[in-house]
This record gives sequence, C-alpha cells and structure tokens, in this order.
Amino acid sequence: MELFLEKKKFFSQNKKIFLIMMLSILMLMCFLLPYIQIIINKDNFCVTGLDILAGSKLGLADAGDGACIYFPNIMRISVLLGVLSPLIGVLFILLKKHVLAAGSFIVGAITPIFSLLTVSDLKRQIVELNISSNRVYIGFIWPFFLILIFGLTSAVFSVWLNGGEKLAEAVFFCFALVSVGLVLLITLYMIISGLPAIIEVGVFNFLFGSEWNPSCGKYGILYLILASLLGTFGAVIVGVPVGVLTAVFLAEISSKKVAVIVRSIVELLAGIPSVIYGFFGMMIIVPFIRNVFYGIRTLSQRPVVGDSLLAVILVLAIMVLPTIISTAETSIRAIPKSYKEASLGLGATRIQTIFKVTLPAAKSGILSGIVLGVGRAIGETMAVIMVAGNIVNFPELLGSVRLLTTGIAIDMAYSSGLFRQCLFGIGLVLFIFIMIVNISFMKISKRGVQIDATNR
Amino acid sequence: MKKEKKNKVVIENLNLFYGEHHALKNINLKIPEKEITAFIGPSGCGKSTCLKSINRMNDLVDNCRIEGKVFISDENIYDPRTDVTLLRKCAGMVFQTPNPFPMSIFDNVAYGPRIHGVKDKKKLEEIVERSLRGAAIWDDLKDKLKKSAFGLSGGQQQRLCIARALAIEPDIILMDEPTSALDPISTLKIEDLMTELRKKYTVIVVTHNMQQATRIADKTAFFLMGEVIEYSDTESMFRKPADKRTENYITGRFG
Ligand SMILES: Nc1ncnc2c1ncn2[C@@H]1O[C@H](COP(=O)(O)OP(=O)(O)O)[C@@H](O)[C@H]1O
Ligand SMILES: [Mg+2]
Repeated sequence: MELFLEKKKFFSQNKKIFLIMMLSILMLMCFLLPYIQIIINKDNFCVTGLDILAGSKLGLADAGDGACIYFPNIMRISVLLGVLSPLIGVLFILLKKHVLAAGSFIVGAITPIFSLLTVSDLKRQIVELNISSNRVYIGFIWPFFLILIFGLTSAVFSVWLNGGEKLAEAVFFCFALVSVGLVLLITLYMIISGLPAIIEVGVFNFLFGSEWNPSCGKYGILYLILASLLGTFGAVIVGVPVGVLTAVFLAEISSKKVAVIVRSIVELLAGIPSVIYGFFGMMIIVPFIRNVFYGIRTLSQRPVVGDSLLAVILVLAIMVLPTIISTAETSIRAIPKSYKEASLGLGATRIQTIFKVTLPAAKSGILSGIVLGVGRAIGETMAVIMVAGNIVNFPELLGSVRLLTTGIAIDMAYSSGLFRQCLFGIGLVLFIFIMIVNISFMKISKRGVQIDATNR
Repeated sequence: MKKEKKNKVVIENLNLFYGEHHALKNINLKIPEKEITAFIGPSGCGKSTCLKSINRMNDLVDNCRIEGKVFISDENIYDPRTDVTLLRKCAGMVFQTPNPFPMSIFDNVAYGPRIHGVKDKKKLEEIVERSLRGAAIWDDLKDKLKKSAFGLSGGQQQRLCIARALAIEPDIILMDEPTSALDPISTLKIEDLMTELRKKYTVIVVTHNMQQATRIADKTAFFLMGEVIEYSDTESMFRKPADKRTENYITGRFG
C-alpha cells in the first residue's frame, strides 16, 4: 500500500537547510582567517579577507617609511563576492530558489581563484620596493580550500533539496561548465595579453612587417607567419599521400594480421613525444639535407646547413601521419560494402574501385583528418625548434626559418616589456589560426555526417 | 512447339564451400540465351551464392573454395586464364538493395564505360542515354543527370542500377532479389523492364516471390539446402511439380 509514498529519509528537508546554513557560516568565517600570507625576509604578514575588504594597503616598515603595497581591486572584488554570495545563497534557499542558491554558492567557492590571478601583481609591487623577489613568498593558505569545499558542499545540498535527479543533472552540468569555462578563460586571456602589443605596434606593422628585430624595436612577424603556413602546407603535401595510401592499405589491401601490426605501430607513432621527433630530425633528417645539398647556397647566399624549412616539413609530415592514417582508415572502413560490390560487379579492378569509388566516398572523413593534422602541425613547437635553425628569414626550402611557435618559445625566457608582450601577440595570432582550423574541422565533419545521413 | 535456344550459361558439377560449409552441392544447370531464368527457394539455400558464382563475385569472399565448371558461351570462367574484369563486363550484376554510387546520375551510369576505357564525352553521353532508355527511366531522369543519385526513390535507384549494368553492354544480367526492397508499384515496373530486357539479354533473377517467378520467368530452378531439386519450364513446374519437395514449397507448406 505504501509503495509510492516516500520512505522516511535520513536527511529530512529541514536538516538539509540547517546544514546549508552551517556550511555558509563556516564559509563566511573563512574570510576571518588569514586569507593571504606574505612572507618577506622572515617577516610574516597574515591578512584576513575582511582586512583586504576594509583597508586598501599593507604597510611594509622594512622597506622604509610609508612603503606599502596595495591590494588590487580584483582581489577586493573577489573577497566581496566571496562574502556576499553565501549570504545571497542562504536568501535564495529561504525563497526556495534552490538552483539559484547553488549557483551563488558556486560563485562564492571559486572567488579565491580570481585572487590567485593577482599574485604576480602583488609581487611586482613588492619588487618595486627594492626587495629582491627571491626573498618574497606569497601564499594562500587553508581558507582557499575551505571556501571551495564549503561552497561546493552547500551548492550540492541546495540542489539536493530538489531531489536526487536534479542533483545528478547539476553535477554533470558543473563538469561541463568547467571545460567550457576554461576555454573561455584561455580565449579571454589570449586576447587580453596579446592585443595590447599588437595595437601598440600597429596591426599592419605587426602582421605584415618583415623585420623582426626586438633590440631595434622592429616587431614584424610576416616571415614567422609565412614560415608557419609553408611548414604546415608542406607537411600536408608530403604527409597526406603517404597517410592516405597507408590507410587504404590497412583498410582494403593488407591481410588482417599485417593490418594489426601496422596499425599498432602507427598508434605508437602517435604516442611518441615531440622532443623525440626533434631528435630524429636533428640526427637523421638535418644531416641528410646537409649532405644532399652540400655546397649549394640558399637565396640569401648562406650555405645549406641542414636546419631548414625542408627539415621542418619532413618532421611535421611524420608527426601528422598517425592522425591522417587513423581518421582516413576509419572513414574508408565506414564506406558501405555495397559500393565496392557494385563497382567490382561492373568489372572494375580493386585498385580502380579504391580510387574511383571508395576514396571519393570517404573524402569528407579524410579531409577532416587532414584538418586535424594541420592543427597539430601548426601548433607544434618542440620538434620544430630542434630542426628549424630559428633564424628569422624569408622562408625558403633549404634556408633556416623561424615559425610562430618557435618564435614564442625561444624568446619567452628572457624577454621583457613590449618584446614580451609581442610574444603574446604572436600567441594570439597562432591561437586565431588554430581556431580557424578547428572551426573548419567542425564544419567539415558536420557536413560529412549530413552526407552520410542522406546516404541512408 | 518452342524452338530450342542456345545455352548461354552452363553450370557443370559445381560445388562451393565457405570454409567447411558446403553451400552448393553438385549443381548442374543449362541456362538458355535471351530468356529469363528464375532461382527460387527458401532463405539460405544458396541462390545468391549460385548467382554470384556466374560472375565470380565469390572470389571476394575469404576462404571460399569452388570446384566444377561454369561455361559462358562455351568458355570455362574458372579457367585460370580468365580475365575476371572481362567476365564481369559480360555478366553485369544488380543487387538486392539499390546501391548507386555517391555521385551524380550521369556519373553512375558512365562509371562502367569509363572503367573500361571510354573517355570521349559524346560517346559517354550516348551510352548514358541508351542505358537509361534501356532501363525505362530516361524520361524521368533526363533533366537531372547532374543531380545526386541519392535524391531518387528506391524504385528509381534500382532502375538506375540496372541502367548502370546495361551501360557496360553485358550479355547476361544477374539480378539478386532486385525487387525485395521495393514497393509493389516499383516492383511491377521492374518486372515490366525485365520482360523488356529479355529481348536482348540473358536474364537470371533470384527471387523470393513465387508469383514473380510465374509472372516473368521462362525457366525456374528450385534450390533447397544447396541443391537444385528441380529445374524446368516455369509453367510446368508450377502446374505440375515433379518433386514432392518442390510441391511443398510452392504450395507454401514450408520455407
Ligand atoms: N560470405 C559467406 N561466408 C560464409 N558463408 C556464407 C557466405 N555467404 C553465404 N553463406 C552461407 O551460404 C549459404 C547460402 O547462402 P546464400 O547463397 O546467400 O542463400 P540465399 O541467397 O539462397 O538466401 C547460407 O547458409 C549462408 O549462411
Ligand atoms: Mg540471397
């Protein structure tokens, strides 16, 4: 008779609300604990969240009279949010808006992350007071974790007030939000850090200037862009025929045994770290090019040393092979057997069938594999650095080149000021390229799905 | 009464094995020229297998072993010197489900001739028109030759596949249950087409549908468990089957 009546639950509704109240009080109390700890020369400054909210500076007597550091506004806003959001959350609970409550608890829980982003700012201020940076330690201690844990737990409980199903949905949604949030964050970060330099140098001068000479204030990355594009293009020209033919071999021609072996080798190839490819390029490809083209001079009248665009192309071609092979093989295998039967039944040979029917039918899949490969090639850094020679040149096949990725990596360690910002600018350009590649990948694979759907 | 026709396809002591499975047992058939021969029988009895052994499509199956002989126009196609490409050009095949290529209608029909070396555009256009007319679908399609073949209805696709087979100018057309995926009206159209094709080609058709066999076939072979139980004029087989098992099957008592 009582089959459909709710069983008495361990956590009654009221208990849950009580728990949420407790948790939010704990969360608030965290802001009374040392929120941030700054250690300078053994002096230990502990600043609570409320201090940050109230006072706006921290005096450092050591560094002289009136020396002080200011807490950045972002930090103050994040503390304020952290204090307000549990209160708002509780308000929402009382209003029975459980999901909104959970949202505000989550906001509260992640506020410390924004404070973290300002650490470098604090450090810069301290260094400007002539305190050597290696004697400064800035730490965020327990409150960070506690706020996070209390916030998330109260969020979970407040959703639970609505029943288990909603809770599960909310958890999945949060995980989905994490990755979406990260992508948005990275995009935002790239734009914020890259755009100023580009604007300062001038968009046209930056993108189409052919001189890259930071010591003279010349920041034109045209040759870097060209080298990246040509390197990637070349890798595709070399890698695609090899990759597609291998895929055809695996899917159509080889025996099962051989296919298994070759396929696992290809998969191994995909797992090799790029430094190793760099080694291979350095030890085999570069000397090979040097020996083959011995005595020849490049257009810029330099001897061919082996480190060159050609070496980059070959290394990248090898690196994109696994991607191209596996996507092409999958899409070839997905072609209905009936196409092949029809073709063979008309008297076509196996090879004719492959080139006239199977490959054309698989072309959108193969194309999306190529685009994926392009994405990998254009972003590759380590292997390229080791074989490119890294001199900024108009890219020619046998001459040394510097690409967008290597341009960033080589100078990042020691650059500063506008130079450094320009590296971020290069990063932004690279980021935009990769976005274009990925969006076209999505377009192509979507079109592929539509074609397949109409085939049914 | 009827004048005896020449035999186009002669199957002699054909045995076929899929691995251990003995799928065709000692088949002997003499299939006359320019007539429609139907293969009937319950599922899995070897009709498709026998049909495919006439243009060696079984070669594509791993561990398929064939013994015996199949003659087309007095040549043994299992002779090692046989050019399979030419054989399949001589015996075109139409499959159970319409399987046009993912290309335009024109390219579908032109596929075979192109494979066999016809490059001239005029010539190809001629062949395409002739084949589509031969499949009684020219009037439907002549204005959309550049369109994808996937836009057509099932019946149209199947006729397109027949046109594609006609385009390689075969002598024999092998059809494996060509109407089983089609609606009744399309089925009737294909049957009309087959009786039309009979004038110029030797047609061998596998069918599940006994009415279809009585409607179109001159001769009928009844298969059961890999054997040909009975092979004779369709009319006499359905009027007065010689074998008890044939009678059981055509009166619907099993299968
Ligand atoms: N490719 C194959 N590999 C193994 N066995 C097969 C294959 N094709 C068909 N067979 C077997 O051969 C027998 C005859 O099949 P099939 O000729 O397709 O029958 P039907 O067309 O009369 O329904 C069946 O038992 C089937 O399981
Ligand atoms: Mg069959």
